[in-house]
Amino acid sequence: MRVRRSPVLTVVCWALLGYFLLPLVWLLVNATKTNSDLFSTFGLRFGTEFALFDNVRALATYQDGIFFRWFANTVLYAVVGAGGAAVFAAMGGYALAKYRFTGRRGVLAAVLGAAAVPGTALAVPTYLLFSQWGLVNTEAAVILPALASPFGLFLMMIYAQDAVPDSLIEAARIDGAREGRIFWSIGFRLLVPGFVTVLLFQLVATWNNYFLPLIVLNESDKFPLTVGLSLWNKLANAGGVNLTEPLYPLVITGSLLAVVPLVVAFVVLQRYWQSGIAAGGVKQ
Amino acid sequence: MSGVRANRTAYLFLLPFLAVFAVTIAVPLGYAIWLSFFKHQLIGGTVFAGLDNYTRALSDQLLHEGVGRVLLFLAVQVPIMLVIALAVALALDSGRMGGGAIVRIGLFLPYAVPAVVATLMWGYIFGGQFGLAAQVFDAVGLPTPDLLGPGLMLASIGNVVTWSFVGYNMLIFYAALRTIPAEVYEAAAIDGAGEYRKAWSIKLPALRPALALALIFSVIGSIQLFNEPSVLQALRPSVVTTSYTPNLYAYNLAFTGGQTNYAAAVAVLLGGITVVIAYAVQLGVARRNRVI
Amino acid sequence: MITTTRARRLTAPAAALALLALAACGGSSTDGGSDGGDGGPTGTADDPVEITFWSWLPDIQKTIDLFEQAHPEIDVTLENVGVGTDQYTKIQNAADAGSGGPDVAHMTYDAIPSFALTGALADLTQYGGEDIPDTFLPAVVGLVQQGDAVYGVPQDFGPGVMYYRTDVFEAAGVEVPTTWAEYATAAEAIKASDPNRYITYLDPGLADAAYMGLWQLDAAPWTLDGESDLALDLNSDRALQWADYWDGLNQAGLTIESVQGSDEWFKQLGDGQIATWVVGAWGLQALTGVLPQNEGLWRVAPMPVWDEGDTATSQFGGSGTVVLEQSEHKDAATTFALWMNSDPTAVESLKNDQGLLPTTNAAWEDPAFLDEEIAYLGGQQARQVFAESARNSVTTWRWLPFQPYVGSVYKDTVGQAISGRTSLADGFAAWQDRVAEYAEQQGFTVTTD
Repeated sequence: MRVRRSPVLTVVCWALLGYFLLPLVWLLVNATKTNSDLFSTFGLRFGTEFALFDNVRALATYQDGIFFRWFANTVLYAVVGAGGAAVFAAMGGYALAKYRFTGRRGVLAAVLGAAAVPGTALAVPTYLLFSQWGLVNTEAAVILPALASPFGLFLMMIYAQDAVPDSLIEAARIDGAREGRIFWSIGFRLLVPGFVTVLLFQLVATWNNYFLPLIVLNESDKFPLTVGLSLWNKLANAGGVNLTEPLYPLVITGSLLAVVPLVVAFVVLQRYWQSGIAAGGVKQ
Repeated sequence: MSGVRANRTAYLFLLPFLAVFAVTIAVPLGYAIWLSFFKHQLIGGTVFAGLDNYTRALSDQLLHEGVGRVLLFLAVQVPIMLVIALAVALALDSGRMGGGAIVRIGLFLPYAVPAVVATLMWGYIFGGQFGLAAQVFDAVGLPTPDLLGPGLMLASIGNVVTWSFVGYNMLIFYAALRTIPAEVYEAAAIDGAGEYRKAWSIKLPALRPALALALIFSVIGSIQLFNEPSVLQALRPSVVTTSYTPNLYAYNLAFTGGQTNYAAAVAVLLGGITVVIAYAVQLGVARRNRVI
Repeated sequence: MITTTRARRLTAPAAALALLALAACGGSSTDGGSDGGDGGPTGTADDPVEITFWSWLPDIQKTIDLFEQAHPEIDVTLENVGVGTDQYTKIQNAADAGSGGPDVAHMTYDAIPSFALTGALADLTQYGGEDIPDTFLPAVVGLVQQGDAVYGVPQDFGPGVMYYRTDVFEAAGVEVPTTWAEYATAAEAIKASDPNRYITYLDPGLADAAYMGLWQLDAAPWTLDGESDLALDLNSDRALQWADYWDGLNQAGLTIESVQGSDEWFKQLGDGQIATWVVGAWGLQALTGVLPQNEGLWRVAPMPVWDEGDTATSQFGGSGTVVLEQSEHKDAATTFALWMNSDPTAVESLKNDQGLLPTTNAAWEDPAFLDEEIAYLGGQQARQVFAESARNSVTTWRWLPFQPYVGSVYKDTVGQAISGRTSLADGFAAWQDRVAEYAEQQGFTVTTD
């Protein structure tokens, strides 16, 4: 490293990190507790027993291991939804940044205007339309909405404005390249840091999407993790319900496991933020 | 490129996005607007109501209070969140701190925590007697303020939102910084510019569009504030009322009150207010780098 | 889920043979009343009618398996799509869309009238349920009946009782109260014995506690005359009797504000900070499940009464089984709903597998059930207490067709008074105003006082 480290900066950022990680530490510690320790021991200290593996085992067997079914559903929804959304946003954002076309401002205004209307109040109309189109209780009802990311579109647009020099596009046109080829072989590669950011955001958003799947899915076999875990949490709170298995430890351990793939995705994707990789590829 | 061909190519690129946007956002929104002109009653069924729902919303005290509350929230929380995110992004990008990769992921992780856990977690941290906050105040010998009381609830919500979204915004800025071409820095290095100088005169101007975008979507997010108050509502129901934020109000109208039509009108009106504020904010802050 | 379905298919033929033998002897009496075709086709063991059942009870599949053995001509698919409101939202959406709902659903009593009013529920007397009023306890029949129509089969209920911590009462040196006046005295003694202990908690978001109190007083806070004339009386003398009583305890600091069912609340119960829990009998399930370490410390007593010699009690919670009007198999659906809640085999399963309090008259005449000693309560014959409460429950209570809304604005009105330790009577006045405004918007003709 040619830059000198700054101790002050390091200390400040790590202090901030400590504050930010506090609730996650809570999650980690409590995933190792038994039900009675959850209600009788200090929140940030380990309990009398280390029950993490027991909790995972209980998770794997409760209701025939439906947790892992939810897990697989979530992977499907998130990967297809986020992957598609990021590609669509990159294509659209590139077009908005690099072409001057009729209706460009209209498109921007419509997308922003629609994003400004809260989705909670649109849930009932959405349900009724989806019902007419035969989408209720299908995977498509969860994946289709995940494919549209207005924020991703705008983000890709501003990234493309700076990251893809007009001169490069012009040069390619002079060489006789077609527009689609220019985008995929030059534009997209320069947009990788932005693309990865949108992909990650949409991955997390779809992974944690709760409201829409709750409304449109009518079979627990199709639930994503959020809806399933929330169902268990509500059962645990319901009081009069006969529970053969205490559900709080399952909810907490399940939530911890639910965060793990996102951490993995982050670690895998973050190398694409190293500048140079993207830029280096096209340097003449 | 000639105009017609540019148009066709641009729309071909936009087609996939516009198709899913139409099916999942625009058409339902159009349907909601249609519904907002009707009124459904348990006794009497559905009748055309013209603009009744809108005039009712304009004089709805509960809605006004909620809008006032989120505007206050917007004015205080958004600047704090964006400044922290910006500072961390610049610090990370400068490469002058140890363990940058860990800080990067650590700050982003709170955004990835599912809402179910958030409720349990914040309940533990803020919870009255057994809560962590109470124990910390105890340890330093101060009386514990009622963090979820009427006076501090909005600040506590701000804390939760900041916690969730600093990392998110930090990544937007960080990724934008990563798209600054290396040649620009090389030129600056030859001029002998220091890190702070580089941050001020190269990086910040380059970040303007990203900042404008983050600002607009933070405005939208603040006015649509829903998840965090509903999580804390479970802990303190009398402070977070059914109309605490406009979005919470719209939700309760639609799902508890069965007033889908009125809820649609409230949502559309809210969208209108949001667009106006977002536009005003970006005119004020980022005039030269308008997003639209 | 997949494995259980497969296992069921394999065992079906054997069960079918047994049933054919039975049918040959006497014929089935529960095939459903109407045969005009509008109740849907009757299946056979080889070609069963398929119905869908939505319920959030975790172990209800066991009871369903028993049903399928007894009725091989009906195949029940269970789905757990959400607890309470989440499930109701889906049913409402399906009703609006005209399809997509289940045939049969689990539903708490307070939600039944709203779905009945909008026509989402089937009147079970049309499909073989005409004996429901005679089969089930008078305490719950009124909750599913409207005029001559019956919109659900009662499944379980929550006769009001008082759970209390023996150790806390002993430490305070005070008798377990039988009247609300004694309860207030005990509140002071408990607080005096330890300033961190309270007779009970007040939950600013839980309208059910107020319902339970008003119900015991037979306060009739709302009366629906016909379909659209609504008389609201949340400011009546009886309503204010309840409000003023709790106002006194609240303002004197003898109760603690806490959210029932929250983590913190369970800790307070577990630590003995909260000495009594006045609730439906099902509270025992929650105590046993979440606070196993408290075994032996809790007992149950009758809910306190207002005057010495009074016996009137009320209820908290409970649910029934409903059939949706959009179902194409309403006969089969009604057969299932009735069997699950009243057949002797099913009642045993509800008691043992589901831990529910069944609602048939017959169940509450079974000595083995009534006399069982409950270990968690130190060997107490708790069901004797439940049975007494069930017998004495006021039977005139009715839920409004928009009860969820009424409950949701409790926290905006009465809840404010509880938290702010201001007048609960004012809170009730505000509550009535919000309810009246809503009812008028919904087209009801509202009269107050």
